[in-house]
Amino acid sequence: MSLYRQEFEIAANDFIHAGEASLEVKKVLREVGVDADLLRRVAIAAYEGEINVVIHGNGGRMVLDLIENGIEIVFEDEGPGIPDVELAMREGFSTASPEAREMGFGAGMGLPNIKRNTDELTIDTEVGRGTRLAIRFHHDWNHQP
Amino acid sequence: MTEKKAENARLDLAIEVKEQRCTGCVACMKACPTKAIRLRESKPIILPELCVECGECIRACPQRAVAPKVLNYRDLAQFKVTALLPSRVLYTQFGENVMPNDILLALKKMGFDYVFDGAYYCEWVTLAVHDWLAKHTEVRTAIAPTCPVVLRIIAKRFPELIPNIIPIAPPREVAAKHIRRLLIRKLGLADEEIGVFHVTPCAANIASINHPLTVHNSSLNGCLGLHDLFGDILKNLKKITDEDRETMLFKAGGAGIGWGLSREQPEITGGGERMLYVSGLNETMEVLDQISSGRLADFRYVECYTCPDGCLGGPLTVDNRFTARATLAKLIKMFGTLTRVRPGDVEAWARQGFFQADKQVVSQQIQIDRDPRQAMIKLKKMNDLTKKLPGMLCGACGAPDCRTLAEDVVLDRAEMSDCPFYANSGAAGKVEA
Repeated sequence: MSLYRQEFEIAANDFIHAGEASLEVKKVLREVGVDADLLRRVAIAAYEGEINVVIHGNGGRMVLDLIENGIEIVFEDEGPGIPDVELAMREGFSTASPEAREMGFGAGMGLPNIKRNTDELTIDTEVGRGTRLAIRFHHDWNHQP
Repeated sequence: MTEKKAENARLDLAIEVKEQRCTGCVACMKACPTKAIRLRESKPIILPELCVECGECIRACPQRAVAPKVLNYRDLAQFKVTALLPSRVLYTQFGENVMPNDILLALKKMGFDYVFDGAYYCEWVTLAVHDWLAKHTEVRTAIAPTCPVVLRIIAKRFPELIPNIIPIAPPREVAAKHIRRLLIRKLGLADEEIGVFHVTPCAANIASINHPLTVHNSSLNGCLGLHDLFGDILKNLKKITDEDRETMLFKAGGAGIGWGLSREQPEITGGGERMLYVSGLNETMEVLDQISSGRLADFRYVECYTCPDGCLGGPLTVDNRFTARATLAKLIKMFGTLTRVRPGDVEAWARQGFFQADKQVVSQQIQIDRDPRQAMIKLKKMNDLTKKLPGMLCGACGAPDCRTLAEDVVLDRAEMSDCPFYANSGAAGKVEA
């Protein structure tokens, strides 16, 4: 059950506003008082996930849920899908466009970085249909830092 | 004294509102980057838990009703001896043909017993920071401890960055501590008989003396506004003779004059590592956020100043920051980019404990509720209420925007009916705020 939900639209190839949704997520987490380490892990993963939707997913949405035993963020897009998830999870592998690389993105660290910072990660993807990435962080809301 | 005034005084903010001048125009409330100002009965009140003392409201007020609580320098008679410590920004305010030493001599002529060169102490701190960086490679992105507003923003909004703050006292505190010891030894006076005052372009320095975040007690007695002294300095500059000039009060090199003002400070990181210079309040918040997300890990040292162009853009400066920068460039060219302080001396001063910040910044994290579950409920309520408001940014309710009014309603410091649009829509009776 979701204790708190907030949804964000993410526009395709909008590098000016890319990162704003994850910034909002951080603001929410500060208000509910999560500790510095968890905040940093969520911030990194949320940002990378958001950027993936901007660069690869042709835009989409991001949903933050504060759930009973932690934090869940779901990224959904109707982009090209990921043909080989195992390959995409490998550090340094990237299919980012030259344009995105020029902006400093596309180093092939996105998904690996997300995985490294989350407690649970599920990818549902279908070529030509889109991708749904769900990440979870364990947290006890009764424990206050 | 009205209730509002009493409230502001009690909480010792460095900024006050002169109600007889205020027309209730909302300029200050709109300008406040942390949304700390509300209008009640058409007069601004400052919420101290949100205020970071940046001084944007001072800059914005067209009536000069929002003012810094600087001391009147004609009224320092309770001290047997007065010593002045002007900010290095003062040297940039009189154009490129007025020498720093003349400015210090002019202050002396105004009747202060001692005048010290603030820039010289900036050089001490430059070398101390350099030393600290060399010894603490475990801190990836170290944050300069100088700008008092940055420390307040970190305490309130980015407490996770507290360990990144370099634990060295700001130059003004290092200097005041040194000056006190010097004068006590030289004159045989008691500590309380000596008044040491900072001449500042900055409102937050006043707060940093009343409530310092990195030292237990400030060694300074107060702040004099740079703008306040400007006219009398001009007058006294004309009286300086060549004989006066045989006294050298100015001791720094270009490194000290340019501390935190010049964008290149190779001496800090040794030139081998990347450093970042940031100015502007929103820009500072953006960069702090990036540091906290681990996105600036390849920068070793970050210096943030919340005024535009750093202290040259301080709210109490007189000259505009662009001509001030041109003057600064000329001075640095004239005095060189190096420090006049010898590294060996800095080691000795470090052993005497001049540099160590003696307390860590304490988190004052702003939260809608300390209980996470209550915070979630309140956030949700705030989002729902925001949707019921018109989104006009009119300020008529006394809050800077609709989201802030919604937050105030949730926190019981306002009512939905404060919004004239909401009150007139007839929704007020139907919806429980």
